[in-house]
Amino acid sequence: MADRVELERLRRLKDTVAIVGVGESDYVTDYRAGAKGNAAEKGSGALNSYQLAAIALKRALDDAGIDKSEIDGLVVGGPMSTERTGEVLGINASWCVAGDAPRGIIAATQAINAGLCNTVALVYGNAQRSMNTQYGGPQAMGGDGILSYVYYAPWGMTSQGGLYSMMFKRHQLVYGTTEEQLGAVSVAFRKHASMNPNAIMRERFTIADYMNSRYISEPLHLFDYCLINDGGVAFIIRRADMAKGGKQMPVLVSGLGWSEMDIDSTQLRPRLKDFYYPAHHGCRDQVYPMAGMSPTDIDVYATYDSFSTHLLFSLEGFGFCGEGEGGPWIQDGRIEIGGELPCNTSGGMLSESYMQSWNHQPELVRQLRRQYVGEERQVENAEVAQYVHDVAGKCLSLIYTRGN
Amino acid sequence: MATARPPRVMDPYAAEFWEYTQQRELRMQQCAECSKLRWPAAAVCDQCLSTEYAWAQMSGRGRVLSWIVFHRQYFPEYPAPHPALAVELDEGPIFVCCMPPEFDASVLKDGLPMELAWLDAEDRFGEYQLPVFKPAG
Repeated sequence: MADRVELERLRRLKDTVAIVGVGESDYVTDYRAGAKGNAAEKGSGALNSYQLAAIALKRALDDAGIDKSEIDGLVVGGPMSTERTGEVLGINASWCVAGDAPRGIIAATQAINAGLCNTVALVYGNAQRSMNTQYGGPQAMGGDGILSYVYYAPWGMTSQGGLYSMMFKRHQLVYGTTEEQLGAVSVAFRKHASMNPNAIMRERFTIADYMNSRYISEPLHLFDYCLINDGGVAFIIRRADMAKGGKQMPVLVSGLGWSEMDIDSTQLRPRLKDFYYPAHHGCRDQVYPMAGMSPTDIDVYATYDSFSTHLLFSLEGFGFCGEGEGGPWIQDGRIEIGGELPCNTSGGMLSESYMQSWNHQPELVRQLRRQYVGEERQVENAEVAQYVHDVAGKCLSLIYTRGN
Repeated sequence: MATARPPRVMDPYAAEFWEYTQQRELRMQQCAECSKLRWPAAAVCDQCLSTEYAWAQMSGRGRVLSWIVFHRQYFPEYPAPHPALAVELDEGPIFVCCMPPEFDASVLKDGLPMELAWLDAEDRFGEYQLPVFKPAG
């Protein structure tokens, strides 16, 4: 838990860096590449990760109105190597790390404040559909990082979805949460995707459609699962004083937090006994005090959503509602655009694109820029945005504000 | 011929665990210094970092904590639908496993007392006994 001294040090980082440019590949086109309007064959090899990242970076630079020569820091996400990324993109960075979006943003904030670099490109490309990447079964990836992804194969237990399903089942047993309540998440995210031309799955569905959809790992249905698609995302983070007067209104990083629960993780103790709430609390107790805010200040919210359950658990852990109250709380449009807390307004990984924490950031930036004004998808008067990342108890969060 | 199952994750400590299962003994490492039980097997105690341990025999009793039913088939060895469950052992560790094939998920309830059972198994490391849990009694 963050004590007072750490918070004082954290607060010094508030508003010191800004996101000045964002870009992504054409998710819909990529999804249907070479397949006559249908989804591309898995394992087709149609796209590669570096190509996707490069497209996204070019768009992020154009969006920011800056030249590639101004980039002096690099964060590399997805299955790409740092060396090959620097080579393909033509960047000799003075600071470079690998990581997902929130880890990259926190690391970039530290590196810029330490004086190692001033303008960081964060790039991600993942041709996971073209490569036929497996998230369950005999070739499941990720076991070198998270042992529970592969350890229980002899018993037939596999997949990240299976693990989150077991966690949701426990939540049902303890709090009485229903499948129908959880359905509100995928219905809302799909509704948001229907307003987003770059979202892959845009056809709206109802709670009845959700309940009629097939189970993958009961109690989770097909619509509780994210997509698996190819794509790339990039954004540019810059020292805040250098971000002023640029092409776009800068979006400031005003809060950050990080807390992990790894002890006894393979036997699923933090997942099944704690729902990762202590990790949420540790992160919450950094990100909100650093930004000088509380959940009631958040205008637009995004959570990592490989499964719909992430939203339920994070809203409870961060204090938007009480523990166990998530099921009833997310009903009646509360999490939809126009509701009290619009969540995953691009459609998220369930319906827009499975970019593993990367696609959420450009969406929050555009909401704060009010880039969609005049469209149904704009969250009115958006001033403060929060991203919450909880992947198997590794909980990170960011708060963004308008830098005008 | 033993029943083929998806491969175990093997390392020197896991190998010791599976060696005991050949005699149908469910044992977990217990730290010789602080007594914490750890599962899965590992090189050191996560509480005190001691490398000294003994293989403590579990009673084979526990209670149901959660379960799911796979409707999608991921492994040829496990045709769908098939259940998987988490059992909280009386000794404390949580044991993720399946049930003997004659049981389906309809028998499961929160907190249901469970007892150890064994299934024959084979993978690329050889033949072995797979510890699973079934409703007690």
